[in-house]
Amino acid sequence: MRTDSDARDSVWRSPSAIIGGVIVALMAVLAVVGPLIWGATAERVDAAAILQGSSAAHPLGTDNLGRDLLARVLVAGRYSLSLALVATLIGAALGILLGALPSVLPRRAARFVTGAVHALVAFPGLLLAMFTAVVAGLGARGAVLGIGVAIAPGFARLTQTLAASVAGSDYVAAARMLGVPRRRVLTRHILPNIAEPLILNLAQSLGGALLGLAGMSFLGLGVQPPDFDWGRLLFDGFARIYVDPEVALGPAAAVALAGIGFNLLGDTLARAAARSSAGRHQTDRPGPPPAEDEPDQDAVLEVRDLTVSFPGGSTPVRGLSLTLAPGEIVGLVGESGSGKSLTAAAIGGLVPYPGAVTYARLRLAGADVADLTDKELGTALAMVFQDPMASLNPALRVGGQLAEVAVVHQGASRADARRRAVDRLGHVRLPDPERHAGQHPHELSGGMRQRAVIAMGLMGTPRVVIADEPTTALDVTVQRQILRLLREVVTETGAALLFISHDIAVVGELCDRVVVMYAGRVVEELPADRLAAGAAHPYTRALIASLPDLDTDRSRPLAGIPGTQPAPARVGPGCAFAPRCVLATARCHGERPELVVHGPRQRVACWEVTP
Amino acid sequence: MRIERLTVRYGGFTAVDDVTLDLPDGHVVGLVGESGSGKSSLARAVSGLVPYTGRVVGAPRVQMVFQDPYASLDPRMTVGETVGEGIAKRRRATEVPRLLGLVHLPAELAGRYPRELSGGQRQRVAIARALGGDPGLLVADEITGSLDVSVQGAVLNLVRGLRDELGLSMLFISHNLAVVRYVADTIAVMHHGRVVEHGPAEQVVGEPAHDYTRALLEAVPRLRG
Repeated sequence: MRTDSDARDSVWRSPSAIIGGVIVALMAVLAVVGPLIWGATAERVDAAAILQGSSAAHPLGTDNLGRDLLARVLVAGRYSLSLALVATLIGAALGILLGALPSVLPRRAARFVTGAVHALVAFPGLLLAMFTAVVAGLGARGAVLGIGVAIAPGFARLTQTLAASVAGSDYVAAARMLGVPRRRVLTRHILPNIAEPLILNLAQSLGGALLGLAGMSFLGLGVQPPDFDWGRLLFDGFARIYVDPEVALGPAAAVALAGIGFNLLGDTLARAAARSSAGRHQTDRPGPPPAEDEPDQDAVLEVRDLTVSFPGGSTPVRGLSLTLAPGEIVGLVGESGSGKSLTAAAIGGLVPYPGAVTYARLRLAGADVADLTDKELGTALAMVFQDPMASLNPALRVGGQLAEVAVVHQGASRADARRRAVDRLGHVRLPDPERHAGQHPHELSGGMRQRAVIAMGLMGTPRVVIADEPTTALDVTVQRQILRLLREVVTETGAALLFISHDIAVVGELCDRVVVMYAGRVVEELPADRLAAGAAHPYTRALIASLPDLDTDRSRPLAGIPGTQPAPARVGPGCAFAPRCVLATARCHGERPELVVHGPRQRVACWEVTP
Repeated sequence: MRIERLTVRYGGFTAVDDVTLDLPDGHVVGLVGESGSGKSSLARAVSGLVPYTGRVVGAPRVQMVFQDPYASLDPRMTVGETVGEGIAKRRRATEVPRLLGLVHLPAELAGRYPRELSGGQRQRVAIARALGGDPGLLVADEITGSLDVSVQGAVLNLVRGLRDELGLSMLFISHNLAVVRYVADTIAVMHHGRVVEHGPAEQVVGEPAHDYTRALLEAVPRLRG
């Protein structure tokens, strides 16, 4: 929670936020006290001081009745601001009504309203305002209505878009099935969930309405004498701008200042609501000392004491160590929030800001990763993610994207790169690689896209492939093909594969060795073929027990694990699994077990299974 | 209860093609198939969420539980408000705690918001909301698809318990054959919008009649050793 409020504080402390806040506060004060203090001065007619320029007595000069213009500008604040407020409220009310109507009206009427809103959005706002003002009659009322009507289509469009996304949500579908009437769905589900962006838009529209009203008054369509607002004062002073520029500049500055203030405040509100998680204070956590011993010469990837932390005390990965030999397939398995994906991201240097990564050693293909250039790292390490669309640019052809890798990383010529791309696509058994290379990603099925991403990784000569849930979004039959492909790639290139998954059955089927993570730490490491019979850690055993397979006894309840994994900021000093563990003792809660050898090629971190 | 010659078309694309399926009272019918096989479209048609041709006979009050419990609860409504949504106002005070009890959640949770709950708890709330509509048929569309394995077991146990205790009829949809086999009495296999095989769960898994079912079964990942 602390990071959240920190982020919000930092938004409010930015210069633009402070300036906007101060201006709006000043405007509010002016609107309240202006007429009380300067009201009499602004109305005082002085025949001796008609149409004067700037002087000590009248800093902004006087008008044709000798009234002091500075006082009139200060007094006009209240009228200008309240007109803008009323216009904005009219526009918002009208717009939200129009925007929300399609969600309650029958289909045909809804379509008509939607079409009308689209047409109005396309119509220039100022013309709409002038047209309305002329129809409604000259004067303040006409101008306010005009600006309100001009603002309404924007609000309607926003409301419609937001409402449509909420209306398509599962909870609205559920409400409809329960027989909740449409009007109630609108007031209970839709409006509360779109209120926030609408309020933000309101603040920003206020600045626009102020400028619009000033414009209307300036055109003579707005406030009529003897009333006056900033626009009217500007209109009156404009005729004299070549003689006494200050009489027009005073009200112009007031309009500009107020407009800037409201817009800055609106921006700040919008940014604060976006709740960027980027904290302001980077906690400098000291990393572990560099490892002293000789690096493992047999390993192609060696990770020692890897820690990933975020400001606010959240540490999703805690002192993780991992070693991969060439040609080895290691499965990293854990539930959501166990830190497995962040581990992959940290190895690839992809941890998002403001995460901090520390390690005692991180070596890839015999070199420290810190010494590798981006190019070398990009060639030696290939990464495959769950969503292939995230790795492929939807606007580019598949073949071109693959060729790009060879051009950038290996300095190949375009033609060579292209040939290699088609060759690699064929290699991952994409049928008709020549044709698919010329297609865009959306023309390929999910399985084909994942093949293309793997082919992209094979454009270089990767020593390590990291695959993060590469088959989770795929069907079982396609998953089986991709798993087979990954195994072939490893056999053929001799690269090591780190396969990350939440599915212990998939991991067990594909991998040589399995590393089980819980709450940011490795709790067990064992050969995959010992998973079913030889798993020692209570968490691993519980995971396997809770997985139904095709031979599970249907007459008995499935095993599960009570409770939930602790959040990365809430991991205590003891074993993180202790609160959910059937074997836990007082020692487990207070003291954390280290990973120790437990049988051949197996290591476990548990007080209860290792003496 | 029976689905008769049901067809769902989106423009020129036929998602569900002339499906006829028996849903016996008090039975859980499992529906398996890959993405694009039409199983979710069938579920939405039966629930009245998409237009269809054909008939759904004798299925009053269909309620549905969705895949993603993070998207299927209104973030601005408390658990109590969500669960009580389909219940007459005067009965809410007694019904909400009873429904929460049915899904093994403490009644105190009624005052909480979805963001304070875990994925498994949210899915229980969604099930409780559906039960509040007193369903003649409960459609469960991949309800454990976005849950962790350790939580999935408890939700599956709950589903089976509800069938046994309340005699609830259910259409249980999943791409995971092992999960469907555990929960369902009969299994229907969908492929390209058609039901290619339907029979008792053990029979479909043990002696699959259709090639596609065999391919599905073969692809299920298994632990070695």
